[in-house]
Amino acid sequence: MEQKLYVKVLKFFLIVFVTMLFFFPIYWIFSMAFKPFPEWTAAGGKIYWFPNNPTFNNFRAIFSRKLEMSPIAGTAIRPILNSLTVSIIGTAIAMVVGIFAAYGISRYKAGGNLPFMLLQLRMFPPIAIIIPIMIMWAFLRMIDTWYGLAIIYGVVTLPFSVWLMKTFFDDIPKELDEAAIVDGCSNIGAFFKVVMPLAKGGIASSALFVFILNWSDFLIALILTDRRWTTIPVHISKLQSAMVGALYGPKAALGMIAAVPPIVFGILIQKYLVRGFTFGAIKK
Amino acid sequence: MFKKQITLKEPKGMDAARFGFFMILPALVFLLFIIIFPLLASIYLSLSEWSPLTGGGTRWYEAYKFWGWLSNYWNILRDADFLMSIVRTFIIVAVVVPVEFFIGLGLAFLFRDNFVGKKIFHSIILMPMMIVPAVAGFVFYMLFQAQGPVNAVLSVFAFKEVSILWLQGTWSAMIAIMIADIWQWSPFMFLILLSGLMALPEDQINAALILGASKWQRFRMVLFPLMKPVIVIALIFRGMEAVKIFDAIWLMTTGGPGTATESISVYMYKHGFKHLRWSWVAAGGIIILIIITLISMQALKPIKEREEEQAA
Amino acid sequence: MPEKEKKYEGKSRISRREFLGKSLKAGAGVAAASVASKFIGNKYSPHSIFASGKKMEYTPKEGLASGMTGGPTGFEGAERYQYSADEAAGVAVEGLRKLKAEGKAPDKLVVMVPPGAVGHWESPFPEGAPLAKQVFFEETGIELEVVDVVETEQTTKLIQDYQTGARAYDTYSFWSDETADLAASGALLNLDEFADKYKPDWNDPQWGNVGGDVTTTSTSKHLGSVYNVVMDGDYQLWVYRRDLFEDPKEQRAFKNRYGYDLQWPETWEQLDQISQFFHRPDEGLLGCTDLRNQYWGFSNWFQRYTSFDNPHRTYWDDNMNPLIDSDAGIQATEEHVASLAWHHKDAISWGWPQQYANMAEGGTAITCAYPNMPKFLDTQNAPDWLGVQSKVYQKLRSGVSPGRNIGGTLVRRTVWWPSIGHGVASNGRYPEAAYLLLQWASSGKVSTWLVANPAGYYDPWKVPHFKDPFVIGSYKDWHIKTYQESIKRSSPPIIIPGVIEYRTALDTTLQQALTGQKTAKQAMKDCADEWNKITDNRGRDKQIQAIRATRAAWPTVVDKPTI
Repeated sequence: MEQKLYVKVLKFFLIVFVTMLFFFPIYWIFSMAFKPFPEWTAAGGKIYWFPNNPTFNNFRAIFSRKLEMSPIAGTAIRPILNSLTVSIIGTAIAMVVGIFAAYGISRYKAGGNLPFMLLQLRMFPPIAIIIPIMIMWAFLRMIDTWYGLAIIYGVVTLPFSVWLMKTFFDDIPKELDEAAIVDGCSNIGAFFKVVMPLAKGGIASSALFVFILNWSDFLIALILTDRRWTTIPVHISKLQSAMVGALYGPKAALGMIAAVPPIVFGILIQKYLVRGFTFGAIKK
Repeated sequence: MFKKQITLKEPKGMDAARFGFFMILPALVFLLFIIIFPLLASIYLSLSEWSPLTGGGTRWYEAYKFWGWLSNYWNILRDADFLMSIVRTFIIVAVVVPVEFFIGLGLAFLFRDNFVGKKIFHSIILMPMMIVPAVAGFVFYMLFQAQGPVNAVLSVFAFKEVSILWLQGTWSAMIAIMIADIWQWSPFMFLILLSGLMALPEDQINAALILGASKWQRFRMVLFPLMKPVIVIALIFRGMEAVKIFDAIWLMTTGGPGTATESISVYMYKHGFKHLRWSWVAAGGIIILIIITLISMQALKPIKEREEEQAA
Repeated sequence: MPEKEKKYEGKSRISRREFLGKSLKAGAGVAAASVASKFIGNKYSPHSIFASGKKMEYTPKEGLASGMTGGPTGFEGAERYQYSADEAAGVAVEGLRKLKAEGKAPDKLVVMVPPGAVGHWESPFPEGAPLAKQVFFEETGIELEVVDVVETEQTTKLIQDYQTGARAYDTYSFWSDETADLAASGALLNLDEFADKYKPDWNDPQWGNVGGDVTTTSTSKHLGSVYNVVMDGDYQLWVYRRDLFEDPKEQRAFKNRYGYDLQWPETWEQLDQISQFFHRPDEGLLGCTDLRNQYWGFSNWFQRYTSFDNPHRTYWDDNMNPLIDSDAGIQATEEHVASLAWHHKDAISWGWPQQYANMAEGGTAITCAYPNMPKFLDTQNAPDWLGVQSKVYQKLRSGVSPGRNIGGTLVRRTVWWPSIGHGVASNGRYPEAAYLLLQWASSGKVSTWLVANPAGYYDPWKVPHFKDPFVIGSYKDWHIKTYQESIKRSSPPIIIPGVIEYRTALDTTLQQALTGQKTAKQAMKDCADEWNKITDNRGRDKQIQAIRATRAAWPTVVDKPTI
């Protein structure tokens, strides 16, 4: 069916308008990151919709050794590296554990109710049991360590990696690994030599998805780190200075840095996002 | 090991079953690791009246000295702030999930056709759900200042100066938080519903068209039934995630003014980490776990059925 | 910090202390010295004390003034901070050396501080001076590992450390008003015994706290015993714009309108009139911006409330009956709410960051803030990346908190809140050494040197601080006088066990009153009910005992009204 031209044009404008609405807050972070102090807020009686005097000072501020007159002594380099480290290792843990489990579930129907237990785990607010977890982590000397944070990230995102990988394995015909076993491969051999290579794409996109989730965490890092392994979101919440107050510019600059990897990865794995957020219940 | 004739369809031999078990073992260990101790410790604490500040120097494992059986449960279930945080959380879910659904649905329909730059628009609309929620909370905190951009835009449309104190009013703060959530998660609905729409068989829609069905009839009789499974799953997952809402609230209002925007998570965080009432929040946590388990058992049913169907 | 070093540090925390203890006993002091020097870096060379192993000889330092046995050296004015062996700091050093010789002191103490205070220990001041932790190390052979924990997380981390038996710290830092709660929690050590033994100078008229034992009781004691060595003076002080108050045009207009001269007010009523007078939001000027937000705003309510009686109005009577739902409490709340009229529109979400920023922009006539406001704003030292300087340079003055005229007597009450305190971890391995570190750091002379250091945010609280040229230079001479007078008139906040819960209840109900969810009367009644519940939960008898022990913390200084 053909639409009338004016309908098409109207629809197009609607799309442009809605897209702008969705983009505006992101634009606000990005533009704020380049605004000098007087343009941060409307304290001077005027809102700055664009950076009138664009500057890199906000980036200088978060990366310079010291924010003078501010209670934050460290630079943002450490938190950025921390975020990367714990997100990557957490993702690796979730993926390795998840891939094995997913294969066991997909091919051998192992684990019984395990997949649904995992789903339920994901649905609990983590805050409901974080105090005993904190006690446990402190007992194991895992507070404020990279492995402490990475392990909890691995556990929290395990449901996603298991379910995602399970759907990818389900898509690979069973006859392939059966044939391999008949040909003399061991179970594990069939898995590594036949199934894994076929699931490469699925593994990559699942890993990126899990990475985005780990990267986004605020609450867990807030509770399970002190100072050495604080992540970007925790660091952002600390950026304040005595003289000018909340450092909107530097906060936005770091927020922008924090926003880039998930956006890039997200666009990269667009096709799989649906699958990811619905634990593979909906495949594209 | 070699040359064993094992078919995977019916794993009869010990080896296949054992192999499967070994494959899931790490996941099982992780799961038990994260569940057993915290759950037992939570139950134990929740049955006492102990807190680190009132324990007179006792450690958490000595909470039995302050044993209270169900007193925490009894008291927290009569605590207005706790109950309100639950009610408030469900209000948030009841508002944001349908709104996100309809925005997502509308957008999905718009994106069914081809138009110039579709890919770019598509990518941009997906961006909000990739933003770190804590950063999103910070941005909306700025946007909703009395002299912030939101009021400025509203002023343009209202032809007079609008200066709503968004984050300082009981309801306006709730609305601000909901808007932030809707902004972030409508793209999720859009993504799911669009893929659902695109997967619909063309011929059935065309058949309905030929039969002279109106737009509404086409939607109700053809599209909706076909998309129902997708819609249900989208609503379930978004609903379950929305219950956990924390980051945006914490950064925008920290639950204020007063307790006006305290969600379950914010309430638990405040009482657990700011007021250090550990046995109290343990009881609250168990109650929340029970509620969520009951809800999720219902909510996950359609998914379970689907799985079983596929398996069969 | 590079990865390698981190790893090293993490490992060292668990095992190294024990390892060192053993190795030292075995006489392997050399190994210890090399570990220690690696840890500290090149700045300090390992002192000869280590080379001698078990038997340590402390060579007298060069550059000490005659009669002095320790203290910082190497810069002009250093002699002001040097001490003799019979002063509190000197006694502490002697005590530590003795402990060390007996094997009862470690090679390293782990010290929790808020991030803003790291500079006091790890930034040299003035130029050419050694670091504070370096001086401590040289004199005692004990290295300090300064660990910063964000203010709002301190209580959690401290409780976590105690509850899990992690023993990660030797001394804790925390907000002083929570002393009672933390003492009752068992995490803090009762310091009375050590204080009897080593005689700190906390109450010394020349070197001790301004206000003497009243101040010590107010900030540091629980049930009459000291648990907290206060290291910060967060007295809420009033700052106003001299340029506005001294403008003849404004003075004329004000006198015409209110019938008395424009000057720093003595009563809340006058303050409110002046605030109203200056409130001109269209010109970018607010009347008065003392905070109204969650978690901070109640400190200003305390001031209005505690000045209601002569010599003060307390939060509870001696039997733990709340007094806040009285007419006085309701009126204080009504005033607290009414003053929003000359505040910023976003007052309820404004914290000190916005408040300081607004003052830096010259956006307000009056405010009430930490003592350091002039230090940060009456200066032209803003960091260059900010690209902006304070607009109120040389335009600020301060005044003692307003009060009430009670039958011809002027009762003015400010409040301290929250003041960083340091305590000894009750589960620490070396409590006596940890205590001595605190005695050393809080001693009149050493604390003056620490407070003078602008790299940290501790505010002055002891008599000698206010005579120190460095402190006077950064806090401004005009502010120093207000400051000292204010300390003497300062009410305690809530300081009995349960403070965290009581404070939250009050804070929440005040917020509800401010946002119009409740009337002042209802808010105070609800808060009083909530307080009673908390009291009953904790055991009323125990609380009565606690509240009676805090009576000595209340100031009695009153004035004669002049306006």
